[in-house]
Amino acid sequence: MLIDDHTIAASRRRIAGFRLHRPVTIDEACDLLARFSDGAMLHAGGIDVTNRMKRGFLQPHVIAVQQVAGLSGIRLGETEIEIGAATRHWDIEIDPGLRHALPTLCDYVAGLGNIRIRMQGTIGGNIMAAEPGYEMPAVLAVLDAELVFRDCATRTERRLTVDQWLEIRGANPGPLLLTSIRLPRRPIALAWNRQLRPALSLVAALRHDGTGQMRGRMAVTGGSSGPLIADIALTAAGREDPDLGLVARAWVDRLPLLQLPLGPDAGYCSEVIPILCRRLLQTLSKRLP
Amino acid sequence: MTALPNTLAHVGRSLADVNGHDKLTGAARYASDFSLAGMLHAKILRSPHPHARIVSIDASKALAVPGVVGVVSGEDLSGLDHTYGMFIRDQPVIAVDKVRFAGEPMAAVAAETEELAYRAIAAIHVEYDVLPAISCIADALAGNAPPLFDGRLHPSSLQPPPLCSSWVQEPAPNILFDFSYSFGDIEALFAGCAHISEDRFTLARQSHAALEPHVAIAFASDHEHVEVWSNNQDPFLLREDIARIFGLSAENVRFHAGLVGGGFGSKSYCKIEPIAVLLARKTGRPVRLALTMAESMMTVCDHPAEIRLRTGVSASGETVVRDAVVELDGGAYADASPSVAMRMGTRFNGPYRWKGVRTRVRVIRTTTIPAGSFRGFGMGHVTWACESQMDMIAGRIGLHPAAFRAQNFLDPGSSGAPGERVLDCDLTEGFNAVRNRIADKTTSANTNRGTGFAVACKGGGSSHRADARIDIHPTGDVTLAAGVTEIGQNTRTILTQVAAEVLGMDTARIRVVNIDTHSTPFDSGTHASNGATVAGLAVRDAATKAAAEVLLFAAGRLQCRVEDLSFRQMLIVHGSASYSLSDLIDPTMKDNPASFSGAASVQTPGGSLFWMPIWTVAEVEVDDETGIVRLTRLINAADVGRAINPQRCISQIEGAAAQGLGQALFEDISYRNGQPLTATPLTYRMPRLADIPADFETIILEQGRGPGPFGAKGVGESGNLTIPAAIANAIADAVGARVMDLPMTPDKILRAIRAKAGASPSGR
Amino acid sequence: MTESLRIHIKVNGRPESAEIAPNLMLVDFLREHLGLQGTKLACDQGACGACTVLLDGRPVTSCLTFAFAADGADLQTIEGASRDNGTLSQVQNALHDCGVPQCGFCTPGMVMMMEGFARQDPLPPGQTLETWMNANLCRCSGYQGFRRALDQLANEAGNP
Repeated sequence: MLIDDHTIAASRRRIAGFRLHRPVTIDEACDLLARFSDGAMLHAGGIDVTNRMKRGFLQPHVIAVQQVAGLSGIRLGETEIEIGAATRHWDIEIDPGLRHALPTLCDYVAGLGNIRIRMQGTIGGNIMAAEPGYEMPAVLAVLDAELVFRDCATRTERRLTVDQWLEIRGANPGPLLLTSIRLPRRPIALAWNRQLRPALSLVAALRHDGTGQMRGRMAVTGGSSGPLIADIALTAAGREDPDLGLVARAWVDRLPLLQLPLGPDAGYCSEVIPILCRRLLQTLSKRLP
Repeated sequence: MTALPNTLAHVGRSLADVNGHDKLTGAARYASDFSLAGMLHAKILRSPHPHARIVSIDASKALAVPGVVGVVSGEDLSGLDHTYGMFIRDQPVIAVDKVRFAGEPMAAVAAETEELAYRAIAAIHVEYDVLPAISCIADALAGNAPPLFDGRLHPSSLQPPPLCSSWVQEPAPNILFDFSYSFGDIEALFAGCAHISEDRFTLARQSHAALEPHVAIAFASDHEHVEVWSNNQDPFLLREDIARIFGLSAENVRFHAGLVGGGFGSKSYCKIEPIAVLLARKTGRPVRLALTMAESMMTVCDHPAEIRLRTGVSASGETVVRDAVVELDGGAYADASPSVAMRMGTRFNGPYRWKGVRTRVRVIRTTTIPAGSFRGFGMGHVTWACESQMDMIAGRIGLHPAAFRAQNFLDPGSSGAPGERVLDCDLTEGFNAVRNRIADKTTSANTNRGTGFAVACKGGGSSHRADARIDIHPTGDVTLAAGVTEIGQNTRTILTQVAAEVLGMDTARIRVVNIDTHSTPFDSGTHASNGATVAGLAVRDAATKAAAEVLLFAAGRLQCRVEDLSFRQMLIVHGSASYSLSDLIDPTMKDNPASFSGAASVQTPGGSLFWMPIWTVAEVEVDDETGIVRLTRLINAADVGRAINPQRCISQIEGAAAQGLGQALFEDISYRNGQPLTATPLTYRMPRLADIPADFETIILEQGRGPGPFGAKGVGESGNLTIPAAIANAIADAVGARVMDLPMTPDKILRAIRAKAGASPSGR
Repeated sequence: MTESLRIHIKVNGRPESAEIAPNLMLVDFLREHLGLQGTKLACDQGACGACTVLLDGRPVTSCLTFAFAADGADLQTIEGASRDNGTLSQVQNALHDCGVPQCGFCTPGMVMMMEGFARQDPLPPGQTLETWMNANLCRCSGYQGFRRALDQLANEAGNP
């Protein structure tokens, strides 16, 4: 939550001195993270970490990872797309390979925040900031992405789904370095609604599952505990309008009540989310041949 | 634009901002760019509690931080006349004994760097005895509300009430001011009305959110002198405040003001300057106190309000009588609230004819950010309620809202209330200007589109004094000095054009100087859309006098009569001969002037000097399933009397309209548990480029009746007034649902749609 | 604990080298170390964009960028936006013609945003200067002057 303590104004001048570390390999970054664990902050794009420091959350060590080799860039495999955690949003938007393989993700990223944020901010930073309203976890969840972490204590790799990560992130999962995000490479339709941002934003993905059904996931972002995510399934007959309203309603009923830190109340959200979901389903079912 | 015929050389031209080049290249300098050698940096420790008694303050650890030079708190105010406020002086420079809003200054530190000042304020220990918060008007008026003050009247400089009105200062605990206004036999008039409408409207807490935060750099060379560089809109008023607070002679207080990064009322009257002076006097060093934008947002805001209107009309739809009851949430301290209450309290007649109007405006104290002056000075509040209700009444009596307005407009030359200045504009012409623009509207079956009108008429220019001086140098260059502050209204450009017109010279050779209260002519403050009109008159007169000085001197040198000479393009013309100023300077003579000076002073009477009318039409598209509204078109027309600079007039109206759009749809510093939730630049939603409809038009009318130079009148405060009501009326037109609480967020719109669906179809 | 580090930055084409503290913000490095006060500090939270500069050609918020993060970069500020002979650039001229600067406090950031857009290559589909400028706040103008300037620039591009 970006609510300030009014006693002392948030300011860059509130950032006391710190020890700066600039590792160049993942192993070095990991060593530093393990060594200083609770006393260190990771700095990639630096947007959220800096704003947090301005509000008085300070640590004696800052580990700047922008120069770490292998932490940024986009690699397209046969079945998988891998995006380095320190890849800036803009570099996702302009990557020709990704635009060919998954153009809707490029378009989705192009609507995040604003251009200054996207030029500076990284995909990993968006996930790790854990700010309500940040949209990257939601879109990655509906695309069935995996987050690849290096566990700096055990020096092992840990792959977590977005859902798994959201579950464990509050319970001090230890010194984890997000290294990359892996997405399945397959035809998939993506649609979103950002009309009520920053209070509320929705994203949904849908694909043919090979058995005549359309399957996917839908996510609502805005609540302080992170996006609310659930699966959706549509039969071919389900493409018709009234049924999509029912599917949306049933989908929303499976979610916990969304309480927004700012903006409209829960009553409004519970009325509007099913409507926006139905519209997303309409868009998606048309988009998917 | 409907323009007057223009035979003038400079007036009526869209001269680019005279500081525009510097602003575009980064060369422009603001108070926040200013520094002095040996300057200390100050930061403020603020109260975390909305309401508490201060038990103790221990600053010993702060003073022990290396590099900390001085700490001040409430106890440093003893012996000083330590409170300020525009009419009622109830706000302490720093909290004394009690805090009354979360964010109130508790203590301030001056240190060698801002970083050290931050470290030091974090080391100050304050013990509070927490008291209940009063977050809103209803809480303040509840029987068990804790009093914010001890009940004694605060020192005041309230003026006698205007005609038909009366006021009471601090009539009850938590009521700052109670203003009443009335003309006509109200109850008898209501008894004769065919239709009476009673409706209640509310407004949220809008922030000025000017981009440059408040800053003050103070230096006290000795105990008797103070010099301050600040971005306050009122350097001359501040001089008086600082002199009074610290017991100094006003001549020994010197204020400097240059370019200001936006004001909108937030930098009017006394704000943070006394804290900087207090630290400067304590440390003997120059002290820079620069707030962050979030701190500026906690320094002053506009008034949340509840407005109940009871309005009676005749069977044929004539506006007859209105009774308005208003509660303004003034926040913890007075600031400019009494003045806002008085201004709005006399203006509920709006642009229409009435036989009687009665108003009561009470300013209620709450434990929130002090509310002060904001562009429009209460007229935005009046217009939100009255222009929303005009459409509601029209719907109830079966008239078209445009026709209902048109049949009740005041006539040019008539007066809307006893003692009020006669109308110096043509309301019908202006209304038709926007009405005709939407004549081409395709009334398609697409029902969720709607159109809404709103009209307002704000007075400006009252009780103002503006002085100016023009110096014509023998080189042909001119220096223009006036005390009006450049806050983004481009006054320097306007005044340059006025001077160039009078002197018949090139605008490029006129330089407008920064304000220094030791040498710049007096001005009673940059408010109420005064700059072009009142300072403009002073500049016109000063330029005329300076030109006369030139001719008097030339007549002496040329041994001719003054009447035989004329002065154009910096040349003295005598028959077929012409002379430059330097031609006439004879180095062998001793009486050569350094420059030819003209000074002038203009004092306006109380009451409005001119009217600033604004006519608006808005078109919206409403998603009736979600309440999401899209503003698709916005057209404003304004009468500017005579546009000295059409481009600058348009910019003022467009910018104000964007603020009105924000107020209509999302701007609000909301509170929860006594704490402001959205008083930061990241959380306070204000208009961005994408919020502005592509179809956004501004029509400038020159109705030619302005009292300013060349027939000009002010324009700065009109463009925002009508926007919320026009949008509300458009939403009602689109989906039949009426929102009466600002801002009109989708949840409120959807609730109104649901309420309409469940209710009988009365009212639009 | 705090130790200084040396950074090398090219600022408006001129190489600069300085010993800085790790917590020094880029905006303060520019305004205080180099005396380049054209870059304005307004919100100090990355919300308004008044402090926008171009870091390797990309618009970033200098109040949210540590100076160390600009080490080795090529930086453009408002002081480098004009032509070499001191006259206004095409972008600045368009803004001047369209009556843009009001208070002028947002102007340097807006200019840098527009200059940054002109330098982007490749530009993904759907990106317009208008969507970029949505990032920056102006409280005076209602943004119409900027829109007029964008139109003028588009016309100039169409009729070279």
